Amino acid sequence: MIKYIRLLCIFTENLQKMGTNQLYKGSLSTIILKLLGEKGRMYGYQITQEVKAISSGEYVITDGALYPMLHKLEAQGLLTVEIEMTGNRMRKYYSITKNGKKEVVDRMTEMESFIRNMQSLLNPKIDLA
Amino acid sequence: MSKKLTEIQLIELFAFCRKHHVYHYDVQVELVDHLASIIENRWEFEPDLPFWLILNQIYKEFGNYSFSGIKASKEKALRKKYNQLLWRYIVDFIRLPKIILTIAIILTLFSTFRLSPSYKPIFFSFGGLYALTMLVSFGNLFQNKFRLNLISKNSFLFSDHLNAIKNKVFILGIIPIFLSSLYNIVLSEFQLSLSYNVVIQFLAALLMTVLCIVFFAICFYIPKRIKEDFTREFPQFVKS
Repeated sequence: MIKYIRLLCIFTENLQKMGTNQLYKGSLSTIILKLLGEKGRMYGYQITQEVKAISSGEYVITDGALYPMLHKLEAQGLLTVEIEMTGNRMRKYYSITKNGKKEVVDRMTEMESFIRNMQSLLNPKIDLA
Repeated sequence: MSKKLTEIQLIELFAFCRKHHVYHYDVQVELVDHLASIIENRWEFEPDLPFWLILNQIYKEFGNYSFSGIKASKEKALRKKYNQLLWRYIVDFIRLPKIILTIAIILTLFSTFRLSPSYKPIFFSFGGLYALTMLVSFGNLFQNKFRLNLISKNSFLFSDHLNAIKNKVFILGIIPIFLSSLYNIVLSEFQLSLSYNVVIQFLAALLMTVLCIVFFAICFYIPKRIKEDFTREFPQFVKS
């Protein structure tokens, strides 16, 4: 699982560098969904730290990108929110919904097929026969 | 044990959000927790760094655009969530006993129109009762229905939704006036008479019933449900 998220992080980082905004946003939401699907509920800051740790600091989700994405996924019904008192302050925990779990399966399948196609396009097997 | 934020510093974080145009508590909560988590994380490695110094550094990293972007996206998500809640209240309201009751009222009114030699007494009594209810609704009795008993002066996007409904109550007062004018135009234009026209009689019965039910839902049922959900989500802010 960690391998998948790490791969997604590298892929997303490259998309970010290339400036392909739509693809970047799509990958970011996939990372969030996949992470929450595996780890259970998490809060915003925890997500940024977890992604940073998995990618060994190579990929950092900015706060300005994370929260709008979390809110968008919440509004789409892919994530659900719980507010809880932690220490002396309130904390919002995000968890994946049933629809979110379905969505992550679809997105992972798409992502795998995309990477497979890219690999075969970039490293074509030359038939010498 | 790592250093934690004090109550006063948390209050300062909320004030910091307000200073940067994030006014609603339900929007501020997440930002404050995020800022607090970063500060506490920074203190793990540099416990002597002053609170304000770290906060200003974080804000610079965030950038004004990101801060307002987070605020906008959160407000959008919350508005959508609260609108969905409103629709759920409406769906919950329209249940079988009420549907049967509505049909019964429509049929009773319709039969009254059919049997009554003149429709005017029915219209006048309905209009009078309706106007009286509307007048009372702008008084204290109904205003309290829309008031959340909060223990603090925090502003909530959730309660703004309640106020938005309250501000729409006056539209319910305009609808009968609009409909009666429309009715008079239709009568004079097409020279129809209510006493002989089944369709108009049925429509009048239907509209009068629907109007009363919508009025009841907006003034009593929905505010009650909003208060229940608000108390569930933010119990510490509601007077018991």
